[in-house]
Amino acid sequence: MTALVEARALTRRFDPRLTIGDRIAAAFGATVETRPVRAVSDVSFAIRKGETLGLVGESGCGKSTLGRMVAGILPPSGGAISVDGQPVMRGGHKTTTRIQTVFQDPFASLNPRRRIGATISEGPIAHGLVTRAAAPAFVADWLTRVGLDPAVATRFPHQFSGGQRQRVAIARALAMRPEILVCDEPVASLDVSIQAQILNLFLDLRAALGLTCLFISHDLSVVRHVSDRVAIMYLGRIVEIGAAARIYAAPRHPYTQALLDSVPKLRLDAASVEFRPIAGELPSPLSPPEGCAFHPRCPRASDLCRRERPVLTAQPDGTEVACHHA
Amino acid sequence: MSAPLLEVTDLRTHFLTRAGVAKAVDGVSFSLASGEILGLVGESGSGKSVTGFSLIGLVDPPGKIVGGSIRFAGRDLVGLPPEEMRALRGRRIAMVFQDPQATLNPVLTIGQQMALALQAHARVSDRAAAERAAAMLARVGIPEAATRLSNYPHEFSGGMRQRVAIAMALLNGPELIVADEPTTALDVSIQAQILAEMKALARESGTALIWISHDLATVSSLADRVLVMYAGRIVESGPVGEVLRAPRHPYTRGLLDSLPAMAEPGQRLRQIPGTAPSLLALSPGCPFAPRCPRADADCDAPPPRVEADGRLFLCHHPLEAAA
Amino acid sequence: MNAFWREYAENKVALAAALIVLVIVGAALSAPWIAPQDPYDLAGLNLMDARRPPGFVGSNGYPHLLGTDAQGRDLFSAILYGLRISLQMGVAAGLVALSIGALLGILAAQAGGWIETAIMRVVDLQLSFPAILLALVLVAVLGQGKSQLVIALVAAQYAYFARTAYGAASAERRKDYVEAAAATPLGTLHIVFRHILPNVLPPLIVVATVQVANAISLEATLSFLGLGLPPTEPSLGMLIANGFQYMMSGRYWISVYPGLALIVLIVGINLVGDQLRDQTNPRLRR
Repeated sequence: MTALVEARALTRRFDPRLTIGDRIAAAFGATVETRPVRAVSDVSFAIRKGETLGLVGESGCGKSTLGRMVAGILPPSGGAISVDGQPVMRGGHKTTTRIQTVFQDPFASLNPRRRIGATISEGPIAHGLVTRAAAPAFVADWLTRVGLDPAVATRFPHQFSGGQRQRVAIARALAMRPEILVCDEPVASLDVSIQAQILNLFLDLRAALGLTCLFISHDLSVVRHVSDRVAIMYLGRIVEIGAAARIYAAPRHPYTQALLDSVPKLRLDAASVEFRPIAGELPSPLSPPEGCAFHPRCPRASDLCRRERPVLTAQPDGTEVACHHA
Repeated sequence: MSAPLLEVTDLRTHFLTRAGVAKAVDGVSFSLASGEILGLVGESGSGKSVTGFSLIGLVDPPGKIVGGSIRFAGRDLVGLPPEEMRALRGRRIAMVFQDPQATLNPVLTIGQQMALALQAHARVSDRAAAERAAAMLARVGIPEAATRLSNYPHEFSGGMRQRVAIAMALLNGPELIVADEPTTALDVSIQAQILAEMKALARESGTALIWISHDLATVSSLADRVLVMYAGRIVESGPVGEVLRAPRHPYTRGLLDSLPAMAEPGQRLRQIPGTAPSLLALSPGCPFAPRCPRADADCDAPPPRVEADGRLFLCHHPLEAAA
Repeated sequence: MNAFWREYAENKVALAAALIVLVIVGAALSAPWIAPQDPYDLAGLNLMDARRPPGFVGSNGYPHLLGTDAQGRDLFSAILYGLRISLQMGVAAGLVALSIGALLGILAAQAGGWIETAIMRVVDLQLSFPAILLALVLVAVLGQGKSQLVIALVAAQYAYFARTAYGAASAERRKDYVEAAAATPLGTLHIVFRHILPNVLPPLIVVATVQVANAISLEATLSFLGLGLPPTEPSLGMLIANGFQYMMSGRYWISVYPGLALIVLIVGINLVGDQLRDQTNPRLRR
């Protein structure tokens, strides 16, 4: 199988925004913080056609920034993201409709002053997928497919619950007939029972439309449920990537192991529970540790880890791990 | 067992809104012993947070406790004068919120705030207060506690800030802590640390803990007993292992089946259809009936309250008990 | 929308203010039909009727409810016609300033970089400068006339709109729904006009109500100083100025009644604006 989406050495820096005061101070020789934050460093991966890649990590690990680059919202500072060899962005603007996005917060991702019918049809009309005259039937069809009553097309977002809005957001993305869907924490803000409904809708539509997906979430069980392969990020880099079943069964990177250990599991027995938290705190992305970024918290860290950053290396079981001691 | 520390009977907290009366908490009863950890589980709008706020007397208008009693150490907190409630709050009952910013004052150092919290309830010298504060920060796992007393809240990371909020809650050795989604905004690795600390604290100091959460997994690994709330009422309660292993109420079953962990990867989840009812227009029957696979005409009548072996559920057609 | 007006109506003061403003605007618009006299028709004036107190029945046979001025004009009619001109100037200046300010503010927020810096520095500079001073200088340079006055008023006021539009647009364009539109992708102009502008408009309309009141008082000030409109088109400010010399001789009504009309109008508009601001400010909402 060939790769449909390919990320090569993606990097994203955020430069600190200097005020006039800062610039004047700098001109007079004062020390002004000008170090850029590297949110994503040198990330490469491929997603095969029809595959779902899950992207996991804690807040600040760069997973959302990576997702926004893949979605064509944020231009990368280095590297490239391509679909079938064609770049997703040119000159800071997205040039393809083959990738569409579902955002985390359905309260923020829908224009509050636009009827949801118009929200769903505006992209397809602008790109000639449907005529203005045929739009009402088109919208009704998509509302039905995401499990909403077609009659609600004339309503505004505030008249819907969170789950219903996320259905609208999914309809808006899929109405563009994408091959690739980027889902950035699509169920994080939903209640448990609604989360199950949206995950089912996602699974149904993915199968029906043969979608290729990048599924970003902090929730390890949700990612396990929907992904064929998973990538684990720590401080802007992928530390482990491979088949979901393998990584969840036998994680190789110490961070992945610690992360999986620290998730509270549903206990159905009365046995007492040992929590095994990860020692220490996430370092600031402003000053990532030398060598392996995880070494200050890692039980297996050696001198080599403090000196040299490990690169992603293929393992016998097909996963790739960035660890000197995997 | 002696008299419980906390006994809530038929608590009713209603919100008198423009659109009508929202029965956020409607007839909730439970009790809690010292050292016990009670998980209060439900989805948004189930009334779990309002129950917590009712216990500490912080229900904001248009909300109002309209009935029932909250007996804490032999005294009814409902109708207690505000000054007495304030004296109780922070000393014998403490609260931890989802957002630690709600507890921490941004313009005072952590040390100043903790000293104020101590001195509000007892005569403590500044020096003794600083020592107590540092000891408490160390206890919740903040490194270099003594030096961090002079830091302001914004100088702590999110996880550390929540720990500071927990240390503040523990400062006066409260008998009861009400924690409302305290780890929801935190990453899993930090959540695990805080869960471990809370569990140890309840065990060691005999503090009773009410842990309000939407997360069944967290509650299952922390709590002794669980209350499942739906539309302002408790629909099921009992020892956490038993309730989750063999739920009797169809809602508890549905909630468990909604979790991805309960299904094979990639398979459809057994979802609960529909959405929670509006609290403004609840029928006298079972509030879960419109979404329930077992519902029939019986469910138009109020569900019976079945109590046996420390378990309780309100259902006309409960699931089979485990063999 | 209905819920919005129901909430508005709960504030009785704001409701009364809105009704008063509506009555004043209605009266000003229908001045040619309800005014007993055409104050511009010099042939209809009689110097015998000059400076008569309120209630005086003049040579035309009807009572002058608010008295007459130095030319024998019926003050009630003059105020109605004056309100017309004041409102015309205020609304015209407000609308033009709104359009220019919104355009500049959104352009600055959207373009970023040196365009943003250049526009917003000029706007800041102007906001730190008294509006009346700028208007005075411009009127002095441009001369008298309706369009000259509107230009002066717009120049003095567009900065408030630009500031508001810039703030609102900067906040909106970071929101997910704008990112979603950009990720579709939709064109920049499409995003600005269909997504950002509709969400920036509510705060601008609130500013506009208050700025119309400010434009009216600014115009009155200029006219009072004799720099506003020519005497053939007397606005409220000029009416006040005309009567000013008679204040000390006991003929208070020539200045006081136009002044009262001006105050009631401006206070009314401001109260309406305050309520609209409170209702559209999410921080004040429950």
